[in-house]
Amino acid sequence: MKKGQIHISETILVVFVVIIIILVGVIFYFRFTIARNEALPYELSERQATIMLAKAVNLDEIACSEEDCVDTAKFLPFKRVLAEDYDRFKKIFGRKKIVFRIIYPEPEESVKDVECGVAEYIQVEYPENCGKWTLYEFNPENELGAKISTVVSLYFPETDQYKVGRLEIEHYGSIVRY
Amino acid sequence: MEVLLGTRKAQSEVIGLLVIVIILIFMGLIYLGFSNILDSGSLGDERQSIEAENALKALMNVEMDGYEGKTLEDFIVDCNIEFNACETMEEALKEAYRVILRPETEFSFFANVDGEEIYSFGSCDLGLFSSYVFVRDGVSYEARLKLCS
Repeated sequence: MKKGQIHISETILVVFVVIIIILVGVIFYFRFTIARNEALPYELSERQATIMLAKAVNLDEIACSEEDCVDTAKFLPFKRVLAEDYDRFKKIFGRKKIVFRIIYPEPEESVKDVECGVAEYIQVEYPENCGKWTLYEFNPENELGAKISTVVSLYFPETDQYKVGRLEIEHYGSIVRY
Repeated sequence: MEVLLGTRKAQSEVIGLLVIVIILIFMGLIYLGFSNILDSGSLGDERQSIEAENALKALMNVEMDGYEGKTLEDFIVDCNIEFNACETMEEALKEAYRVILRPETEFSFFANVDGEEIYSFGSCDLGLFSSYVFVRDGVSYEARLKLCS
């Protein structure tokens, strides 16, 4: 009888220890999973921005008709269309800022951050009098964003010249559909 | 007595086996947890690949700053004729990519004519390749850029 009781006690102890080990393992697993899920919205936002980076240069609204480049003459009309149908583009682009910058040949320091608008476009010095186009910006909660970028070829039909540009996409927070 | 002893041994062995299995399951759960949080880095690689391709294509038709309006295509064609033009091309490319690429990005460049290499510079073992082919006066030229990783 005593031996049997000892056996049963041993078995209960072993089963108890085993259950504790399983519980600890499950707790660890779920903690890691929760941590991963908390980072997921940001990762999805970054993924969406990366896809947009690859596709932006091929958008019909701004791409060159024949070459693999971006037609800068289409930027201002595109901005106008975007402003007229802002809600639709908010649903497409989400909370982002999309900027094209001239990087080579290097523009002068004084014009690097000058926005290329209609006023700059009609001047004789264009495109030497400005350095960037902000095509889209939507950040309603003024969040800090993360920026990704890639090199693009910018074509200027006014002078039949190419320059090297950088497409910058700043994405904010998680993906939210508007 | 012997039967009792045998039964005890069997019980011990079964429980021992069960403990090992449980420990393995526990380790498996820990591994799954770690593998969930490991950063795959695939988004960064994807962007690097886009960068490599665009960095070459974007420069091909640009009039290089300070080189009499010559484009990279012009340089490659001249490099096929005269070696000095190759060295000038190397200088021009280094200046351009110093501005175009992210800081501290190393690169290698190769120029081929009809499939044969005529000039190259830079040294990196691993990297992302991009290639651009053009034809001029019936001759096929290829520019290859490798962004070092």
